[in-house]
Amino acid sequence: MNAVQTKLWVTGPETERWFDAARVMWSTDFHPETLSSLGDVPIHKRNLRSSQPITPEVILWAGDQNGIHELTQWLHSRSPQSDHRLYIAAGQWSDAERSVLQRFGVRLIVSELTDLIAIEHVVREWSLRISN
Amino acid sequence: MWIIDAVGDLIHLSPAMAEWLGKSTETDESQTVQTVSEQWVDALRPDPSIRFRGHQTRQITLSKHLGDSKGLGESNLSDEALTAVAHWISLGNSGYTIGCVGEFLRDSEVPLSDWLGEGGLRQESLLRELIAKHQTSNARTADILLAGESDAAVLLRRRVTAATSMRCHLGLFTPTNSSSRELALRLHDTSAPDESLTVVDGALMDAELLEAYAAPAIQSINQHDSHRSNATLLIERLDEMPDDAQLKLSQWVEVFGDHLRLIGMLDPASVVDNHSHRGKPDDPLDAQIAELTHMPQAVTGIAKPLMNLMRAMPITVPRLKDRREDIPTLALALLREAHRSGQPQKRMSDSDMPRLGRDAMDALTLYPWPNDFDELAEAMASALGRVVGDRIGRDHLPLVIRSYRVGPRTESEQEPEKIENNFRIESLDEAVQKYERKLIDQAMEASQGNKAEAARRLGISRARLLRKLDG
Repeated sequence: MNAVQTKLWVTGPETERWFDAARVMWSTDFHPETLSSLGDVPIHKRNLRSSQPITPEVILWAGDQNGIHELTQWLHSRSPQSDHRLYIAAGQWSDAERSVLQRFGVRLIVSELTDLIAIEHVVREWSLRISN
Repeated sequence: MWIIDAVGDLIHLSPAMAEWLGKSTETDESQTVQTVSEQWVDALRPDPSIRFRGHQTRQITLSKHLGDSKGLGESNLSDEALTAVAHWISLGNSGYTIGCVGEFLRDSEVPLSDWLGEGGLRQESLLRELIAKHQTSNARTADILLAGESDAAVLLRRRVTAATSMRCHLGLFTPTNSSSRELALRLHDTSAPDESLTVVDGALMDAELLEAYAAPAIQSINQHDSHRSNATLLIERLDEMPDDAQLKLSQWVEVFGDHLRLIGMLDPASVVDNHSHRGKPDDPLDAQIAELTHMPQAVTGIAKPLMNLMRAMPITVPRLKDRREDIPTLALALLREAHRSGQPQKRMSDSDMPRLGRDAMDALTLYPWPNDFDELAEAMASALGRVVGDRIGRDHLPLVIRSYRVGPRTESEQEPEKIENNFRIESLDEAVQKYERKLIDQAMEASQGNKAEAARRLGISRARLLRKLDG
């Protein structure tokens, strides 16, 4: 499956817990990597000279009770969003916080570890669509 | 601590505050409030600007002499003044403001566990500021996208102005990308600023996920009468949304009516171009969109009720290649924006902004812009990062743009070239003989069999014609 090409980066205060969950619950086609902070996420630069197929990139931000400010601030300061990146926010967020996360570009939100199972097929299909 | 109501009257004074002011705490609260002089109440009111930020901190000074002018409370008149740092917080839309004085700590000195509410007040305040910045940035991008004097830009501006003046379902016929997202958010912020917003990517949703993601919006609408509120659902890539999710959406629209407002983003390339009649390539997009109403869901990929909603106020964002005359205006505006939001150490006034050279402008106008507005924005930011000096030339543009050349032949001239490429005959002599014979026959026919006349018409001697006829 093309999902093997997908980059899956896990970062945020609760990285360890969600990284283990993604490794166990998601197919072996996904190879999660941990990043110590959002600042380590590679800067996206479109390579217009390259004819290489696009690599889908999934960023799973594992937050905690400290709120969503770290992620929203980072998303706000980034250059415009790229279609080959999918942001997933993991944590127990209020409705208002979910709305803010969506506004800043987060498209999937998981609150329990087992929610990862429910969205795996969505991420896989997205990955296939982007890489094709 | 004290409370000021919507009209600016002091309606509550805490016992500690009354004591600090030197007022008797033995009388009941309403009496204590009444004894406070107008000058003191004035000092206890926040600045009017609090309605923008929701909170305010500044120093207040209460003159004892003025405060006791009513002759109640402390009897010792003096010029002594009470000075303290006061903090006010306005309580939502109620009009009430709480004020307090005391010893304040820096945010960083307060343990997170001491903050009030879910996420904490500090987080909420930071988020509000961030959202306000985000909204401003969306508005700037949307303004640039709408700039220009082409017919397409004027139509787009008119549609957007109409769409922002009322709350209605909106169909944005444009690919889902960074700039179209910002335009959609701008449309929501302007037309229904206080309404809750849920953003979903249609391509990622099945019916189950859609139900989970839209739950807050649906719950707020589903309340009984007076508690019922409106909500907006912004759906990116509506054309890629699976049928079961579209069915769910159609059901909600039917049940909740206009309480649930939809803003849909549909890529015209996949919805219109692939399915409309090929014989009418010059039809305006609006006409093509109108045609979609008569097509079954199997063709358009979009459920009929949703398509009808999207057509209620359709906004078609023209592609850059269809509004080339606007490119210089857009490029300059994007350059200014990139210059403005540059690194703080690089930030300078508009007069320091490099100008766009004519060669660069020509290259920008010729380039076909496959990734449209976002690519132009990226190109301007990239050129700004690369330029040395005060002029951006062709060489500072990304390679793909500066190396783009328009082909030597236009599209209409390509057909003859194709024929020449396929040219092949069996024998040149045979072909020449055939052509010669054809010309001689035509001349003979025109001269009604008179060989001398036919030779004249062919520009040869009669003898040569006779030889050819004999051969």
